[in-house]
Amino acid sequence: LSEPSDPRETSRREDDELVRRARGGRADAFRSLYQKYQERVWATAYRIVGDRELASDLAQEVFVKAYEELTGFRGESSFSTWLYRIAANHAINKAGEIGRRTRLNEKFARERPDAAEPAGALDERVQRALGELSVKLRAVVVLRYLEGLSYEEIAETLDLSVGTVKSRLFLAHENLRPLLEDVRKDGTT
Amino acid sequence: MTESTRCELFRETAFDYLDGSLSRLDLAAFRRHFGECPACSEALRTIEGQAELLTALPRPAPPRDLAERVDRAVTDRRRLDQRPRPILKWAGLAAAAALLVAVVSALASAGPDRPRGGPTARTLRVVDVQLPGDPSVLGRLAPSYENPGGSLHGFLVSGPPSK
Repeated sequence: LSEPSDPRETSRREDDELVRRARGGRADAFRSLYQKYQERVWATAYRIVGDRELASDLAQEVFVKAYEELTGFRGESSFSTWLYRIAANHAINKAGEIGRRTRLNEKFARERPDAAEPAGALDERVQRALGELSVKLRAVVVLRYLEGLSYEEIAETLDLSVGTVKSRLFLAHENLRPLLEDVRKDGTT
Repeated sequence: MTESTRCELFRETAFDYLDGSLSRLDLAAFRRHFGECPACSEALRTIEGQAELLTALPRPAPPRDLAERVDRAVTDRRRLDQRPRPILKWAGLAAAAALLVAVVSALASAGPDRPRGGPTARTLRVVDVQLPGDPSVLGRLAPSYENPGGSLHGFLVSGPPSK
């Protein structure tokens, strides 16, 4: 009997094959990659910059950059980690630029989801609380809890040590405490 | 070990505790401190509660046109790679011009006895130079005559027509 396959490992193997074909000039292979990851890239950017439209611009830039740099991708990390690295760093830089011009948490407070996609009250509270964190702490929280990356993957994505990831996460929890302590899972207080 | 050192160790190992990856010895020390230090036990409860809250959040839905926008951006970028590079364009223009000049010169060299249908002001026209498969006009070749309707003098080469 064969071992049941690990879905992450299966996904990684599929990505490796798509990357190999995309590097060989197959447009359909690269299309499959961005169709698979575009929502994750967008969500990561959105949680970091707090703006849906800006997150869409960033998602486009991330995939264009991935297309340009695919020949330099050597497969030392998984394609998804490599892509998260481009997305997170792009979003962190953009959030830094915005933060220098305006208070980012004001932007987070103003941002509302599309009328057609009403987010719950909980989501709105969390998004506003994330806007109160520094972008470095916010990125770690987003990657860990909202995107489900391991500490090792976050360290690789953000070019940090695992210890730094954990200490940033600890600090983020402390900073979120006064903002989220009265929030229950249904979004009520 | 001082109390603050124990608190620091607690901070460093809190996530390993939550992941269940502490060794038996570390786990015992962690639990001992956890039972004795109200601040650390409160911090651990906070982490557990927030982690549960955050991981339960659904991924936000992107705008409906995201796929189309990403597709357009990547397709536009790919087209840039597929266009001939400027040096190749000019090499193509030069080759086309040389070929045309050679053909017309051969016809013109027939002189007064040239066959009917040879290059005259009526038969030679301005020619747009294009590369196969590329609709853009790289340049123009225009016949130049010594006199209107007279003998062929040469060719004028110009760049792409202005829009």
